[in-house]
Amino acid sequence: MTTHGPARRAAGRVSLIVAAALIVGLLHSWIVQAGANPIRLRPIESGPTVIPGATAAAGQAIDGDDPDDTEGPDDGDSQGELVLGLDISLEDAKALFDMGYPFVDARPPDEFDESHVQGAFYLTADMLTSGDEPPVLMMLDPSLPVVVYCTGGDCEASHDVVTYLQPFGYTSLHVMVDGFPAWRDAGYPTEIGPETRLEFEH
Amino acid sequence: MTDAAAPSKPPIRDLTLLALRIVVGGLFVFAATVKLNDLHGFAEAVKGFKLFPAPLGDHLILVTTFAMPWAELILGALLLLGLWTREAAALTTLLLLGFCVALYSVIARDMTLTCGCFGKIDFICTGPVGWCSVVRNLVHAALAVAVLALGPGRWSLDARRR
Repeated sequence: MTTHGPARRAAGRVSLIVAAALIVGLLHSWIVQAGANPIRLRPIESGPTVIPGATAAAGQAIDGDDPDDTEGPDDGDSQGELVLGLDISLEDAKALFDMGYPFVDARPPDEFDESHVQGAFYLTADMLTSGDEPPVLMMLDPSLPVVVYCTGGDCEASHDVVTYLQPFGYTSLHVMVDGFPAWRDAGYPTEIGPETRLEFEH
Repeated sequence: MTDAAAPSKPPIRDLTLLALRIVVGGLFVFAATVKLNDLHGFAEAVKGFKLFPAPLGDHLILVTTFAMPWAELILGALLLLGLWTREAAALTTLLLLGFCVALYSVIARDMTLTCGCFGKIDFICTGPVGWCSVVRNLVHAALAVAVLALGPGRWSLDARRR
C-alpha cells in the first residue's frame, strides 16, 4: 500500500479547510461591506477646508507647520482664514477652540474623566458602530468644524472616530495629531470629571 | 491478531484526548464567536498591528478580519467533533504560531495596543499586548500539537468513520 494516499488525503483536507475559511469569509465580507454599517479603515480625505474668520492664538501667524495645511495661492493674503486638512497642529486646534468649535475626546473613558479639553464631548468609534446613533451627535453640527483628539503619537482612535463620523455627513473633521498631552503641556484650558461623558451616555 | 484479542485501551486515555480537543477547539470557537460579534472592533485591532504594508495593506486587513474568525470557527468545530482531527490540529498549531509571531512583532516594535484575540474580553492576560499573550498562545499551540500527535481518541467522528 502506498504511503502517498494518507498524505494526499491530509493535504486535500487541509486545502479544503483553508478554502472553506476563505470562501465563507469572502461571502461574509460582501454582505457586511454592502450593508448599512460597512467596515471602514481610514477617513476619506476630501481636501482642505477653509474656515473663515479665524484668528490665531496670541496673535501669531495663522498658518501652522502641519504638512496637511495646504495653502491656496492667495491664502497668505486672506485675513482671518484658516485652511485646514484632516491632521492639524496644536496651534490650529487652539485657534478653532478660541472660535468656539467643539472638541471630541476619543480616548478611554478613565482618561477622559481624569482630564480633557475644556468643553470636549466624549465619542469613540465603538459608539459610532454600535448600531444606534450616539446621543452626543446632536451637540455636533455637521456643517461646522469639529476637532477630534486622543493621546497623540501612535494613537489611531481619533482617526477612527473621523472615519465613522464621515458617513453622518460631517464635512469639516480635523484631528489634533499631537493629542491631549500636548494640549495639557501647553497649559491650554482643561477640565476634569465624567459629567459630560455620562450626560450623553444613554 | 484480531481486535477481539487486543486489550482495550483504558477510557482515561480517550477522556484525556477528548478533554484536549474540547480545550483547544473550544477556545477557538469562543474566540471566533467574540470576533464575529464585533467585526469593526476586530478590524481596528488587525489594523493596529501594522503588519501589512501599502498598497495592499487595507485589502489584507479586510481579508484577515473576515477570514480569520471563520478559520477559527471551522477549526474549533472540527476539533470539538473530532473530525479531520489531525489536519485541524496542524492548521490550529500553524495559526497559533502565526499569532505568536504577530504578537512578538508588537512587543519588539514597542507598540501599545490590545490584541483583539478575544474581542474586548481579557482572557487570562489583561491590558495591552505583552509576553503573557505570547505565552498563552504558545501553551494553546502546545495543546494543539498534543492533539496532532495523539489523535482524536475513541470519542470522535474520525473513530466512527473507520
